[in-house]
Amino acid sequence: MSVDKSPLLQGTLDLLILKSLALGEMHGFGVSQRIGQMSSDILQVGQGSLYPALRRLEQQGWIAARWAPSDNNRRARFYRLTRSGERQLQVEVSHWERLAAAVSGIVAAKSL
Amino acid sequence: MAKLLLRDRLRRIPLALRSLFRPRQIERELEEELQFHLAHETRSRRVEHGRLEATKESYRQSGDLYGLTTLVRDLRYGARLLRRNLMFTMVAVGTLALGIGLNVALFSVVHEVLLAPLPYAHSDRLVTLASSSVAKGLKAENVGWMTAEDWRARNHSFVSIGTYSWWTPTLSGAGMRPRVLRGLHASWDFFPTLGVTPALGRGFSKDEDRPHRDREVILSNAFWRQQFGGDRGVIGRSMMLDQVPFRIIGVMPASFDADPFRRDVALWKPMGYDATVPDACRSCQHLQAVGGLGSGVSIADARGDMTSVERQLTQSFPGDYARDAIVAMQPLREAVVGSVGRLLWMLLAAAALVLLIAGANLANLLLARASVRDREVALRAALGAGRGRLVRQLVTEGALLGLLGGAAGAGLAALAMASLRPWAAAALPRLSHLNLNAATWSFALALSLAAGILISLAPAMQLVTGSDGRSHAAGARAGLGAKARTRHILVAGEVALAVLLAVGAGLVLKSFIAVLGVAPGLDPSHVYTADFRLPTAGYPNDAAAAQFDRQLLTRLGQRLGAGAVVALDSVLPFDPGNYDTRAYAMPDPPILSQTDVTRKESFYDTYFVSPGYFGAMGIRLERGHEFTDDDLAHPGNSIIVSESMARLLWPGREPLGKAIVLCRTKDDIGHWAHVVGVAADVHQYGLERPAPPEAYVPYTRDAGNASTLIIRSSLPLAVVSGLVESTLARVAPSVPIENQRSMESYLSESMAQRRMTLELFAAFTGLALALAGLGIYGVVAFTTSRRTGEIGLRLTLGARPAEIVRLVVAGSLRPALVGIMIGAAAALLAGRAFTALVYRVSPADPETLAAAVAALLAIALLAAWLPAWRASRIDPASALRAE
Repeated sequence: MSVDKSPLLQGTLDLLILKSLALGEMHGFGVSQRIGQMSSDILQVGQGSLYPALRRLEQQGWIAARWAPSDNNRRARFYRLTRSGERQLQVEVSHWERLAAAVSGIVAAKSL
Repeated sequence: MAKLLLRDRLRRIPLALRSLFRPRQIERELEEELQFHLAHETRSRRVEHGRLEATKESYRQSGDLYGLTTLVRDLRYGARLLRRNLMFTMVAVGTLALGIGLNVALFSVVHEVLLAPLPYAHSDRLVTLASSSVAKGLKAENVGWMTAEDWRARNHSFVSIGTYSWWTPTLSGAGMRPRVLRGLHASWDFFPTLGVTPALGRGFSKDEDRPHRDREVILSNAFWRQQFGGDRGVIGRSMMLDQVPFRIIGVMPASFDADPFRRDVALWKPMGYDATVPDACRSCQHLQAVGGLGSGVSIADARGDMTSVERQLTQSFPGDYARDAIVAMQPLREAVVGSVGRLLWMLLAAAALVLLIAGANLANLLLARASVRDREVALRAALGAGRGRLVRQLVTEGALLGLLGGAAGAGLAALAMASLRPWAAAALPRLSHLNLNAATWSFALALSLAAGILISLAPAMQLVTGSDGRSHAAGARAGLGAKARTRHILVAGEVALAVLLAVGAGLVLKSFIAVLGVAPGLDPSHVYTADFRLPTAGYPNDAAAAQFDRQLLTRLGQRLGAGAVVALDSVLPFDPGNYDTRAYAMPDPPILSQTDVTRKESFYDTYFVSPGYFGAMGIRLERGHEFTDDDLAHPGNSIIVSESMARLLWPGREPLGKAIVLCRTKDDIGHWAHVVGVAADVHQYGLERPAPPEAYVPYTRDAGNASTLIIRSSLPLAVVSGLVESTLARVAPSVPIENQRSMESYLSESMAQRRMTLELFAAFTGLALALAGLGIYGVVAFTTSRRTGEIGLRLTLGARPAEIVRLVVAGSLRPALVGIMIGAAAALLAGRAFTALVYRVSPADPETLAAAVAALLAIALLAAWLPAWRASRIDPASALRAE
């Protein structure tokens, strides 16, 4: 399933980005790669939604960005979680868990 | 959502600023980031250029913190549009500038006169106090010294009560021309009551406020700078006032120069009231009083308190107070501003109406433009701009227009105020300095934004209800009907407002004519007047002063030649400055009629006049004759009364030869005076006030008192003035002469406020009528241009041009007629508000209403006929081709 084609649940992309950045600072491409790896390539985040989301999160103060050289010595923009972002991640995770539980409860129900 | 830590909150600000001011850099960085990303994409997916563009657009939007970027973009876009339609922009900005400028200029007057705080500490706790009676009401201004002392001792409401009275000393010194100054006797607690202290030196001490100890003066800042060049060493020096040395002990701060309470006072001396002189009776009221309420005491509390104090006094001294004596109290601010408040609010309301009319016109203009912009809007909507986004764009453009208009308007207001200042200062209190201050700027800003946003609401609403996802053509057509309705409502509204203004202007004009029609009772043309005073030193007694007067009048008579009439008088008619001085500077002998045993309500305005006064002033003598030199030799034996006084005292009987008692005070036994003449009534207090019963007695002077010289001559004022100055220089070089003016100038000054009201209303109404006419014209021209095809068809089918004109005019007059009816009804309802403006005219005057309605009808017809006529002249063939 590609994120670009079927829209993610509202706000889910933010959660994915924050979660992947929780592992450490990385550039935008790295974020999309990591989301792919962690979801066994089920979730793919294309540049079309990734970069606007990164900018929005930065503007909201959850993440911070800086320019730094990457592995192949090309300049890249690296993102990391801020302290506020770490808290926000916890909030979003618990939201997600409640939502997921609710949805799977409905889906698992025998008589519909 | 988690709470944002302060550190991360602060991080957002530079980001917001960067997206606002460095949009290009951000785009460049995004480009680099995207290139980096694409270079790493494992599957070399071909990303089309279009997709990258979409990413960039959503990237831009996601970076718009606080909506600032959109705002800037809308403003830029709006500015580009305004630049492109320069004609429209100039018309719109000009109209707004006129409307806003008017309002800002008037608001600055309202602010200065009504809203700005008085220059005293706790100015809202200050109250004027005066002795009055239930019959007289709150009009009283004065109080006697002993009464004031008792008020001080017995009241429980005031921290202090200061008293003051006019003082006009003559300043003299080596090598200078003597000058008469405007000053006040002030009780020692006068300044503490107002809460002001001298900037230099000190105030009066209680010990100095005693008879014959009162030889200290405090100077106003303006007088100090003018007379002593702002020398700080002036404290302790002495100056000669009325030939007596006074010690300068203080200088007031500059902020007190604008003291609205008593304007242009140059110096103060202690009251030093001598309670032993005969004029100092309990009922002799020649002081004015101002009290400072204690904290937490309301004026109503103080009224109750003072009523009981006055009741005690009435019981203790029944002979001195009227049985219904009360204390008249007024907040100082009201006393200062007087009745002008309602007038100013009315004028501001009129200016607001003009702005509303201008706004309605602009809204119509924008609507017309919006229909031209339909395609642009539809295109943007198709590209995905939401309706909210489009409305926001329109409102931003309106606000931009409003701000431009407001900036130009503020400029206009500044210009207007420069010319308004001297003109309005004659008519209004507290207008010594008028300028654009923070309050005015805020008002201008708020007004500009509000005006801009309001005028863009009509097209914006059209957008919301109009093109709603329907096909562009259908949307446009549906929108056309709704737009026409909105346009008609706007026209009706502005016509209604214009009717309201026109009725107001009509009432003001009619009142002005009515006031002009009042016969003043004297003939002010060719009359020269001047004030002069005799110093006590050179003229020690009344005989010496009388000798001087005779000599001066004779010399002047000789030099001015035959035909000139020269006379002296104590108080000039229409001279507003004299209401206060009358009681103190020239204690008038009250008159008691022979039959009036109870001696009640028998004090009448009395004027001291020399032989020749009635001729010089042009006051008609109905019966009897003027005073003669013989009367002057035996003052007190003869009296001249006005017609209304004769009617009052001897109704239906011959007044000549009747006798009445003249006495200086209530306790004075007085003496008999016989009526030798009856003069026409003179409107002493201004044309709009009824002529009071008046009495004239032969001119005698107390040395040291000021008197007024009156000369009727066919020579120009400047020539007369030169002759008087040179004669006086020869007869008595030490006598100062002031205030050389024509009698006509006093009369016109007494009408300054009414003239200002008339001129402002006339200007506003002229603007309103022009704007309403333009509004109607604009709408009719727009509709006929849309109907060109139809009109061409009608012409082809044989309609005559006259029929076309009738068709168009009849069709477009409806909104104007509706507006006229609404406006007329509103004017009738608003009649009550006009009562402040009218004189001897009913606020619901049918003639005025009819004239206003006729004016608007004529304008509406003309404005509709012009485009109709032009439409009827089109070439049918080309009109049909155009369709």
